[in-house]
Amino acid sequence: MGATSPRRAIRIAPFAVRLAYLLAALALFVLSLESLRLGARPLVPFIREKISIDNPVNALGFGWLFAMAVLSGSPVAATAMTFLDAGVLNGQEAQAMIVGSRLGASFVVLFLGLVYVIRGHRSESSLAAGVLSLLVTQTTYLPAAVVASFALSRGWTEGWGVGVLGSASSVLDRLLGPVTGLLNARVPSWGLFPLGLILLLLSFSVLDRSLPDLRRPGSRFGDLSHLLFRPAVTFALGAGITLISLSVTVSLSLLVPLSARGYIRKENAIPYIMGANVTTLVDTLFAAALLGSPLGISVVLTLMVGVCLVSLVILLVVFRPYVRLLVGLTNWIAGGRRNLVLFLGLLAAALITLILR
Amino acid sequence: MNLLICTDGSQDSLQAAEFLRLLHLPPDMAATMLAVADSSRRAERLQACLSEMQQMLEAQGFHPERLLRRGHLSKEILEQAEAGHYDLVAIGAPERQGLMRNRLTSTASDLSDRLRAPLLIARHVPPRLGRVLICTSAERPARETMRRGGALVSLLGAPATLVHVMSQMALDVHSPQEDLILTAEQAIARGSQEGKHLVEATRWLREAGMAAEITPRLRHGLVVEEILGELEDPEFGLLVLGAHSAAGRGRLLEALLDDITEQLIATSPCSVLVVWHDPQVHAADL
Repeated sequence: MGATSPRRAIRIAPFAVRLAYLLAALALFVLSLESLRLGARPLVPFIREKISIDNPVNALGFGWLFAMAVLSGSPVAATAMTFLDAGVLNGQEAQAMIVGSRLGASFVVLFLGLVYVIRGHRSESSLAAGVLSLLVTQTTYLPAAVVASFALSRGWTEGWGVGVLGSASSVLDRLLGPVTGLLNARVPSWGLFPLGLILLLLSFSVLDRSLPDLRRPGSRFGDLSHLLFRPAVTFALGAGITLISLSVTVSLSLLVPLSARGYIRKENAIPYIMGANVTTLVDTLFAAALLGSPLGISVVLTLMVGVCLVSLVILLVVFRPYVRLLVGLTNWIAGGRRNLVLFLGLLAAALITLILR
Repeated sequence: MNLLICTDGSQDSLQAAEFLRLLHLPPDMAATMLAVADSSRRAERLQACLSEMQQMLEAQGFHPERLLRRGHLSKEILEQAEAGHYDLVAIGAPERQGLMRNRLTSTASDLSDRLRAPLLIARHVPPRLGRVLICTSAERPARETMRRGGALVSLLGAPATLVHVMSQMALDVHSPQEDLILTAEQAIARGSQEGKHLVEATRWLREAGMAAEITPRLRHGLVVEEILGELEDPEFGLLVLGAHSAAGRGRLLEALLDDITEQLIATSPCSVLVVWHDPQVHAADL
């Protein structure tokens, strides 16, 4: 008995550490949301008048640019929820900002890869997964945004948030009543938003450390690199793994050590990314719930359903032509540095147009 | 060798008898013609088709037995195939289709997954067979596909292209890129995983009796599209594939995997030979 106890303790210790990270991440997340919410209210004139974010199109561009600046999409999507709660953005604008955050996050992965290629470490073809991920995100999120925005404008999904929250008051208010007072008293109003943003980034960083280790060799997921799965299967797998990892990039990178050579079949990658793109919004939904915002929950749920619907239509109706189109585009874009720079240049031009519109 | 040639009374189904002309089979070989009608209305047409098929086979030197059944086409074929222990089951099929599938094509897809004997789906049979395309998944069941498929293809005496398609891409910038651009010759010379497999698969085909030229080929792209791309060369008259079901895989995994064989049966412009993996033979080989 005495000999087994230390072994058991060794087995339990990593779980305890992960649990501690998870709790710390949650605490930081809640704290950051409160700080962002308090800090967002004074930003209304700045965002509406100074940088003129006053319609869904430039809210989309703003979300994209913001995600590039912080090198991640999730913190920007959570920030969009605090903007909605504080009245900085309306429902459609907040939804567009979330869409922008997803586009920005995919762009960042590709841009960082390009920097790596320019430094001479690898050829352009090594960026194929990044290009494909961005193309899948663009071709699913943009139509989904139109569908979701239409549904929101018609009020079809208004009741969803109320249904989820029920009659419960803001979870955030109950959890952080004393902290709110402290933040208001000790931090100047101009400092609340930057503080919230730093805490939010920190919370996602801590959350990464709490993730279970899916990288053990011999896992069933290893088959993803050489077997060809039905699209619906990899869609569900992408959705499931991203539900745990919360990030499409992390979710894809988890597959690297699971395949012997770091490969994935293109046929498998596309539905996997589609599935990941649906559940990557779960943390944003969580943020909306913590903020006690029925409208926020409606906004995120409507977008999730929109992305899911668009993905399912592609999977069930036009999957093979869609795959051919995206693989053809990916091959062209990742086929040479000039093509890649041209593609990124076009995206940058689109981004500028969105912001200035 | 024991053959089962099946018909539903359609003109397309006669392609099966037509293809046998290309196989240099000894005339004393046992052959059974199975005609299946799902209604009495079809019986007359079925008799006419059966007679035409008999003439075609007799012209090739066969003396086929005639069987006439009423019922579901694939169910009747499966029952007869199990009872007769055939070495090859042949069925005709129309030209490739889009979304709408012909009854024969659906039957062929159904049979390809359940039939233990090699299944020939004859379509657009040329006067002379120029070349055979043999596909290998580079998975463990490929050995069985080469061994059993190779034995049948050797009867054609035609040269073959042995193709493996790599649809993989690098997951991130750190993944090695080299294997993703190699030609078959380069892969064999470098001894990459795919190169080694192509050498091994060629040896299995030779052991199965294939004496004609075998050209290994490595293609990069989407699996179905690349195989169809290769088949654009009109010289190809037969596509050889492994069945979707494979020994050693659980039922759950089978259900999760995409059915490439079914897609190629529906879209191949030429005849298709589907080789089922016999778990017992496979286990003995291992």
